[in-house]
Amino acid sequence: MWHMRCGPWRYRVERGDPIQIGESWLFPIVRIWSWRRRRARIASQSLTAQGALMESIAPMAVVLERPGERRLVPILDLTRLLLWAIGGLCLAGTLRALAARRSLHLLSRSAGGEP
Amino acid sequence: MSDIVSRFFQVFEESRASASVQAVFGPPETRGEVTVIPVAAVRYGVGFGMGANTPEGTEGAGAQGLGGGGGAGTHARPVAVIEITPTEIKVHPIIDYSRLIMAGVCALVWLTFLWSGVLKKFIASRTPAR
Repeated sequence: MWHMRCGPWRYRVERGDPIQIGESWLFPIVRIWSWRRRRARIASQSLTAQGALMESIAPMAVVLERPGERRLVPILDLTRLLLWAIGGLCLAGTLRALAARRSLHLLSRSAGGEP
Repeated sequence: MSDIVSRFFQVFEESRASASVQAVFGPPETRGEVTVIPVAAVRYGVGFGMGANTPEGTEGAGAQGLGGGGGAGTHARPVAVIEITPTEIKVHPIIDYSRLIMAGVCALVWLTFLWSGVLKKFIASRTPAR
């Protein structure tokens, strides 16, 4: 459906087969990112190592209730969002603590240098 | 040999890509007028390595060492449930509280450790030297 490639990273969005529920149709949308890396020939020895990782996430579903009338249903991954929020808060707290420590250090140095 | 491994990875990715939609959106379950579709986030991983070594002075048939190994894994996590009724469509997100609590506790411990150092330095700077 839509894809992008950047080095070992691949990103694409695909639409699955429609699911009929009553008179409505649901079109699942899946976002897939994958990573693939290969290393070969280290020094004189012949060594090949490969790794691939792939993750499929559902960002939304399209619901066709009547012909021509469609609705986007976003599917939020709240666990991941909250984990990112906790990570962001942790990073902000760490940077703030480092800045505070640095300013305290500078303050003690300037106070010690006074006659 | 590396071409075979490369081809193996290509087949892995292609097969997983075709199966991913079915893995992410589960089959719809209908109970009365309510239809429920489970939604998950699926992750696949595979790694493979192999090597051949010819020690110096041992060139000849049978002197070559060859070894390899690999592994693969799959991880699926429920994300939400789509509930479809004749009147409306609802998405119920599934929150993994144990994971969130664990991350929160880790963050709290880390920040407490970091800020206690800053506080100690602050108190030391305020205390007059004797």
